[in-house]
Amino acid sequence: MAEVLVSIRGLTIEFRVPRGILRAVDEVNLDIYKGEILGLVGESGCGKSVLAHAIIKQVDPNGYIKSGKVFFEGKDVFSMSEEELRRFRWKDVAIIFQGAQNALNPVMHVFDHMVDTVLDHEKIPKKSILERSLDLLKMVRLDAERVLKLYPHELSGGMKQRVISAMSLLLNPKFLILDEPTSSLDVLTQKYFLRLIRDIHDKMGITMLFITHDLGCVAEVADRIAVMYLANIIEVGNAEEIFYDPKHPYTAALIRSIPSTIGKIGDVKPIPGPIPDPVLPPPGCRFHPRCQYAFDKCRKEKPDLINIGNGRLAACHLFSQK
Amino acid sequence: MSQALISVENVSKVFSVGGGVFGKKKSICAVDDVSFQINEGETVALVGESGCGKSTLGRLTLGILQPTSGRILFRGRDIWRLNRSEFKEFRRNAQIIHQDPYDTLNPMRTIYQSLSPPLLHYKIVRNRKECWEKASELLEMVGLAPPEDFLQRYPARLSGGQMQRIAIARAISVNPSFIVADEAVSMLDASLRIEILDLLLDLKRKFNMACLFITHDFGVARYFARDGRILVMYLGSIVEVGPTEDVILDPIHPYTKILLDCVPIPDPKIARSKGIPYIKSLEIPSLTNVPVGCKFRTRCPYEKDVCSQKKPELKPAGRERFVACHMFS
Repeated sequence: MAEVLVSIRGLTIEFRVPRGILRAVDEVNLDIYKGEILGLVGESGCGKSVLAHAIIKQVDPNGYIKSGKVFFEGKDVFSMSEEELRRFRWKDVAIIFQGAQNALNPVMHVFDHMVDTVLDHEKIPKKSILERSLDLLKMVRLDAERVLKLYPHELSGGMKQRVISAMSLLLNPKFLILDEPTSSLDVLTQKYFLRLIRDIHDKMGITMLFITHDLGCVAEVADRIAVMYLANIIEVGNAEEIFYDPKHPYTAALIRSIPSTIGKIGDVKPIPGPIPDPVLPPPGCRFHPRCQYAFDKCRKEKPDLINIGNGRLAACHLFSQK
Repeated sequence: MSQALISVENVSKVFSVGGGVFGKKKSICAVDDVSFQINEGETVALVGESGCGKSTLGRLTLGILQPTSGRILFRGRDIWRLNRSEFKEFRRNAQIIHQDPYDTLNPMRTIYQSLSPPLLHYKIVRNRKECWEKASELLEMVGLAPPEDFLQRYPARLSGGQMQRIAIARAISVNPSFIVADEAVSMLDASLRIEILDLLLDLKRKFNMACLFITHDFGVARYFARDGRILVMYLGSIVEVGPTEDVILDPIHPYTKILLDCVPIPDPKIARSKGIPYIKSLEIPSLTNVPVGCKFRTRCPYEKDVCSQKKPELKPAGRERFVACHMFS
């Protein structure tokens, strides 16, 4: 039985916006198992990024954690002291986010960045940092000796992404969060990067949370997939189950609505219905106005995310116990 | 043989960059000696990665940019040799749908105020009353009903999908024979794209408009241009042309092959079983330092001596197919 590394329980995160309160994450329960790559998939605005950042207790200034808990190896993250939190971030958990490349300091070369990152958290002699940096840069398939002396403007987008990845691994984190890491990469670089992620995972056994809106990327990388819709997790299953036998109507409709280079063009169908307003979501099941199977209960009661057999989770009244 | 609607003949567009106190001026060739035709009512997808010159090429076909060399012909006439009224008539016939709906819709104007100017400018309508009626009709055509609900609204009150529908309404409002859709669905959520693509396909058929559909997404290109052709672009040049399904199922040019091999597939078994294609370098050459001869040779697994000596031209490579590669001369 796989060990749980991260456990999210009843997590609700809200934002104050001009029109009222926006609930970006709505009573979410999720377990991430040690050693897996979990894909968190959903369209823009579904809350996946907010959820992921909350794991390391990072919320936008105009947002707040309304309720819920996050446990990492059994420790309550939200109750950690400043010092514990500081050590937790980057040592236990590292994060590669969209636009991380722009966070590189233009007046520091790559080795300076590596040293900075390490010394912020541990007292380690420079020589050891050098060895570790070279190892990691080689692992991300860069010309290590050369790249170490380069400045950010001398690196291409793809190279910066690899440097960021190597930096995130410096302190040997147990858990890596990747938030849309390939959004600014060209197709070829993206393919190589996704392969690299799997290689790092296979070599180092790091648990990973891979957040994306791109179903192609998640199919390439994830062992298990959690699907989010309008602040809720509505289905969880292993990658093949989700793609070949989706249970939740939204999952099925989403997969069917993406045109790709494979499959029959005629099979592609749009998801019907109006896009919901995140500040005023529909009552009951949030997907019901767009769901072909919706019945009375769906309009009134929000379905819980329950185990529908064989570890598959779905939040849909079609599967509720009678 | 009927005349093409749009004919691009050896068109190049060179931009000057840099210069000033800190460096020398450099020239980049965004579009490099490109030739192709679009026929009445035809769908042509122009596919390539960001920076390949496809948007610049799109703007050249519309007369928004002027070529540095070469000609753009509309129904056989060089658009840059037309007189004022002829050019105005051409611009009415050639419309654009931008990636960002805010490039079409002024946030300080109501929807009606965005739709009315072209209707009046091209005298599609004779007075304000007809203009309001026509605008209403257009909104209904793009699925925004009842139109009164939308005409007085400002763009900020609309979703991305709704704004893009209005951008389409504006483009078709002047009865064009040719539309350029430049990454028209890229800013929309993936699940919304099909609705907009279906709408565009429907209107295209109804009004027999030709469409140059620019995108970096092969899946979207395949869906939209299923009955048409696909042009693949790399660093300013067209490297492969052919019927859409043929090119996607059986690409010939090494770049097209590698690109299609790397497109993420929403199918775990297929995605995992595909090996990673070999490429000599992941780095795309800068447009200020383009390889001599074939521009793809620095990354091509099949590079030979001739590739650094001569630039390959588009040559026939099967039924309605063309490839620019020395392996297939």
